[in-house]
Amino acid sequence: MSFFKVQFRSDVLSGEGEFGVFLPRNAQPPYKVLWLLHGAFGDFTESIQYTSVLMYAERRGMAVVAPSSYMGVYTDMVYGEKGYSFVKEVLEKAPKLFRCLSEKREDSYLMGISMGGHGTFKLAAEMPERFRGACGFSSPVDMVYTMSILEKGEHFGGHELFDAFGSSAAYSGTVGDVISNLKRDLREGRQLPRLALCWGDSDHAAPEDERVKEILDQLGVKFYSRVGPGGHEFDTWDPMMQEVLDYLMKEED
Amino acid sequence: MAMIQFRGSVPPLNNAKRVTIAMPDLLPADGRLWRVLWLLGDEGEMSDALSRKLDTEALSRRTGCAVVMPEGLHSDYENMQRGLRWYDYITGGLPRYLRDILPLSSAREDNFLFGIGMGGLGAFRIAMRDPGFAAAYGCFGADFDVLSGDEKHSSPEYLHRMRTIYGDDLESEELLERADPYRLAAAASDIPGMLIAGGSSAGKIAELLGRSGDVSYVYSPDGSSPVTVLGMFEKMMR
Repeated sequence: MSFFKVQFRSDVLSGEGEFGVFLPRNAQPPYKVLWLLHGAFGDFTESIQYTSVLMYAERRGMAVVAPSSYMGVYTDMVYGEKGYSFVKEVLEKAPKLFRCLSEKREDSYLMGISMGGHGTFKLAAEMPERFRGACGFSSPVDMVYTMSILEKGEHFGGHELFDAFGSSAAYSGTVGDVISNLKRDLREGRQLPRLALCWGDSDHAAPEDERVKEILDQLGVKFYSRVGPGGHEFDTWDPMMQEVLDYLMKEED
Repeated sequence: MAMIQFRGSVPPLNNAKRVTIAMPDLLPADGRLWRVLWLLGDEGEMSDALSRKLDTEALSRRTGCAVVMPEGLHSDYENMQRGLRWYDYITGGLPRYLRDILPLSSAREDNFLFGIGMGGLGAFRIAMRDPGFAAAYGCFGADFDVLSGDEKHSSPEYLHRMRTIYGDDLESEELLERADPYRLAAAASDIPGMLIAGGSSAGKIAELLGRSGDVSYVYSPDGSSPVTVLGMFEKMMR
């Protein structure tokens, strides 16, 4: 794939931001786009280095756009950077800079690794008309719940999550309250993106993702999930990526 | 401000290469396209060499031009006899590719081509052979004696380099007609703006350009330092 690393003066960060753009060599523009969100505390190179996601995307004629979200928690932090607004800034500006990227819903997909899956579902719930598919790997989709167990001392996360999200009460009812926002979308009759969530059988995120699956099942949301062998690591996620992409991209049934 | 590092394989090189691009902002206003300064570096330099030596971001901001810096490695920016087709890449494949995906203007009046050292020679030859590529050219510290002087015989290593780029017969009429800067200058036409600064025998080249009725040029015996190059470009844009 052709690779562009873009560094620019971000309006929302009041500083510099960066994203990577990878263009397929085997397709004609406008390209389908996989918006790839990295995990907490990483940057846009993380999933590129540790998985074969570029190869999987290119096989499907997709470009990949990967922003570096500040601290990688996909929220406008209580104490910190506006990580979620920055990702939305890239979402808006990247297709205007790279005119070969499609902005159509039917060509737009989200994939998030670990915390990137929170960003993925957050975007999917906020703007379901923008994306045809969205998938997370071992992700704290319901960050309000994750914060609540963190407050009880029952989660491995540390003070940085409080710095970012404040508290479960503070995050509840915001754009990051994914479950509430998905329910709102359903009430309003908005068409949700095709959704998928995968995790490992010895993954510390497994209980949270199983809970999200139950909630979505109860809501009647059509939903793909898969549990692979392994823990919270790229070895677990990479073998599931192609199957998930095919699910997200398949024709309506 | 925006800075883009590109790595990819573009025809006709079909070989992974780097390009550095400095832009005044991420997006031009009102859906317009950026004017472009194509800036060719010296021999052996990677694409980010000039952006490390010079404040190309500031230059981009002050002139309102995207500054596109490809690399030419050891090619003289020529279609090499034993190597890659760099000339076709710089004048055709790369501009086409980048203009297709980025908001870069293809209008002649919005494009400028400057080069330093080996890049100065490359810019000069493009101006002579394909004057429609840009509205103005800057050639700084170019070795205009590359094919006419004795330098090519200065060492076995240099002769090997020359044969790699130009072929075994460095005296052939076909080669001199195509690539000797003096012959090219003598036939120059339709160049609205040309800066010649520094380099071997630059005065002689300027004199040849002066005989042409439709070549507008400025000659300076000095000015091959990169800082001077950018200063002259800014002055020209004002």
